[in-house]
Amino acid sequence: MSDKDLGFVRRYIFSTDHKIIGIQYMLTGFLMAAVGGLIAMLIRLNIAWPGKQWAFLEAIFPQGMAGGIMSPEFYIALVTMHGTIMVFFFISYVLVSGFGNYLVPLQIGARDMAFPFLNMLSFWIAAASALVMLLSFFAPGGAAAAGWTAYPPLSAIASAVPGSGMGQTLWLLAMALFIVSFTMGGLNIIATVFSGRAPGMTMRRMPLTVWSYLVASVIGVLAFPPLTAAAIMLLFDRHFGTSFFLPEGLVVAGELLNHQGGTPLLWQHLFWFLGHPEVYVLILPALGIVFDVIPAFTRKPVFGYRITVYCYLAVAALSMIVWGHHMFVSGMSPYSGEYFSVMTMVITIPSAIIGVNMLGSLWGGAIRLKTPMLFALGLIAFFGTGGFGGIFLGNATADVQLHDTYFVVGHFHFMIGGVTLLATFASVYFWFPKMFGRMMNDKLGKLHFWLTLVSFYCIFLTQHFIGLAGTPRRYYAFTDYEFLEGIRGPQMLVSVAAFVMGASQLIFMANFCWSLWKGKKAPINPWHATTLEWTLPSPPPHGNWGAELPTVERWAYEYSAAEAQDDFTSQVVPASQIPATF
Amino acid sequence: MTTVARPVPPRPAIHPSQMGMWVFLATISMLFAAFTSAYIIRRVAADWVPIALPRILWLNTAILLGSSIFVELARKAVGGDEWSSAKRWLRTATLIGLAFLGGQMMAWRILVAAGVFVPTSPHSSFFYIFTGVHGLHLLGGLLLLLWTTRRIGGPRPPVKVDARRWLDLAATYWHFLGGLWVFLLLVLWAL
Repeated sequence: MSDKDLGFVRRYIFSTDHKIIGIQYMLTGFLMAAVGGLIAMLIRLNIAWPGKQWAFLEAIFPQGMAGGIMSPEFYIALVTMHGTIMVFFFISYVLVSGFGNYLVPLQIGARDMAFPFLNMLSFWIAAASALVMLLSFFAPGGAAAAGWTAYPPLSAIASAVPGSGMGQTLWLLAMALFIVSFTMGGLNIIATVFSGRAPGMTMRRMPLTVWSYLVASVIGVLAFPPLTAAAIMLLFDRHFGTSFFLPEGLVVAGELLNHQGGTPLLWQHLFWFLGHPEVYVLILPALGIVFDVIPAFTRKPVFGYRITVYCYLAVAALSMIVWGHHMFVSGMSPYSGEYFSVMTMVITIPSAIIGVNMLGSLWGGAIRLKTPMLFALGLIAFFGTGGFGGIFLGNATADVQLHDTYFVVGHFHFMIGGVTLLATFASVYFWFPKMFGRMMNDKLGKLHFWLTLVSFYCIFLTQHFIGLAGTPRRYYAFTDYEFLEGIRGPQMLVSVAAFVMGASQLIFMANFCWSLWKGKKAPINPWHATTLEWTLPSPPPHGNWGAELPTVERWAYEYSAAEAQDDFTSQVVPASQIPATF
Repeated sequence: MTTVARPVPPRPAIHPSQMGMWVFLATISMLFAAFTSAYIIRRVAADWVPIALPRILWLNTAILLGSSIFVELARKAVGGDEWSSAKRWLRTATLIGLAFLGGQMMAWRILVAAGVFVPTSPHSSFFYIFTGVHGLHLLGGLLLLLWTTRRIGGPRPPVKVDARRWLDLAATYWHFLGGLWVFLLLVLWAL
């Protein structure tokens, strides 16, 4: 059935087409990113000028900004919501669900995802989840304030802080919806890759993007259910009087609680059993996408394709058994700490090999610095910087000093924040022509890149040093600590740089909207790339392929083949015409 | 670099729905693996008082495992092209499955009558969560059985390939839930 037969609602709103759903995820994610980004601006505003009066903000947040001054309770709720929104509702939606939906069927030569209806359901549950999370700002007591990790007892006792009441309940509800939707999405991607590949698309011919989505989905569907279990137990602790996570002798608001025998550490273990793999759920697609962007701008095959796939698998397996490195200061046995340290060092090996393969993919290439390539290069730099900080944090000995300082904040913003952010931008600039049939403006794109890159380094590299100086994270203000007087200047630099970075995203938004209608018409294959989606019209029609599925004749990186006239050979060019590498 | 054109490999054989079901079972396994680990960690605390499990649970277990036999009988009937008897076997399995859920409710009522509630002891908390979450999954299984019965025995003659696939899926899910229940009961009873 052609999509012309469907009404507007079935075509663009309750669509089962993976491309529309991908774009819906992307736009929802960007909307959430705007909210999360504005929250970050408020956080930095308060760090730079703690306790200052901002009369206009009282109109928006009458509770949290009473008299125009941010309350400490509101500050910690902002920190909580910034983390939650950025990790689950921006990066997961845009990079994993958005581009995963858009790219996987196109790149393996399928007409749609394996379960299109389930796919639509996933998106609408995801949208509901985002809505509930946003609504929690308007709950009595405000949004959740137990951190994005929702540690008990703050998250378990409704009277602990204002956000622990209705806000936390809504947070848990939103997360439950998110997990259902995200697990269904992961299941869909796995089934699609295993059963929906076009003739000739063997596993070894799949683009690394598809590999990364496959591996990320496998980790996702295995790691999220334990968080569901933990959330169910937390709900029981909150509402039915059980004591899974609550110990004896807790006094809240002057009242001795009736709980006994539980331990908050159980939550930490269950949370990080998800939380650490989740990092790789987000970062593997980022790395996969870069492996597809780079060759289009170096005109040579990626370096170490097979090793990279093996490294994805190794990272995936190891990611499930390193979660304890988030808990070195929880009083765990030194032997456990030693184990988690060693495993963390082990996981840096496949990660470093992936990084080396990226550099190898650049080596000797005819590099063209278009916008997507700039973001890809920035990503490699971030991956190196963030990975380097990770070595310090992965060592229990160093971590005891650095835990819960701004060093950690700087580190994870490079990895789960920066690598994924730059990959998101690289993919938008790279696949925008395919999605909407028009090119984005390259000059504005480059301006956006340089402003983002420089301000990002000013913010998060500086935070490493602020952390080394001993600044603890999540504190409302640092005015009362003599030993932190010296970092006032760097904190101000971070805040100003944050405002610059926030403002430079307006360039991206303007470019995106302008290009949708006024951008130069895109040809079918503007980057002269080899993968299947570049053989389709831009945007591709409903059902993607015509009467017949494409026949895949070669791997995804046939660039500058000696026998070919062009410097790229599409995956569908018959091997009888131009010999295939494999 | 090879210069020989390679033959195009055939399309993969596994059906997406089958693949999806196995992945779904993996997620359920991880859910209960997490519950079980929490159970193992929680039970060493000083306040762990084991509750007396209602004896009806053993009867329920027999009922649930028995229902799996009828699902298999339905599969055998479909293999022999006897669609109406397949439908009968499935109906029987569904009814027995419902009886299991009823039996689980009975177990809850017995406990409540004995004054054992959700927060009474960590053991009882886990008991209610295990049986409740398993029961919800089983409710989904019952819906799947009903749906499959409809695919097999609609007013029109069944689309055979389609009906077989649904029956296979339902059977996989149903047997898994039976095995899962035995595992959970053993954890609750022996640990």
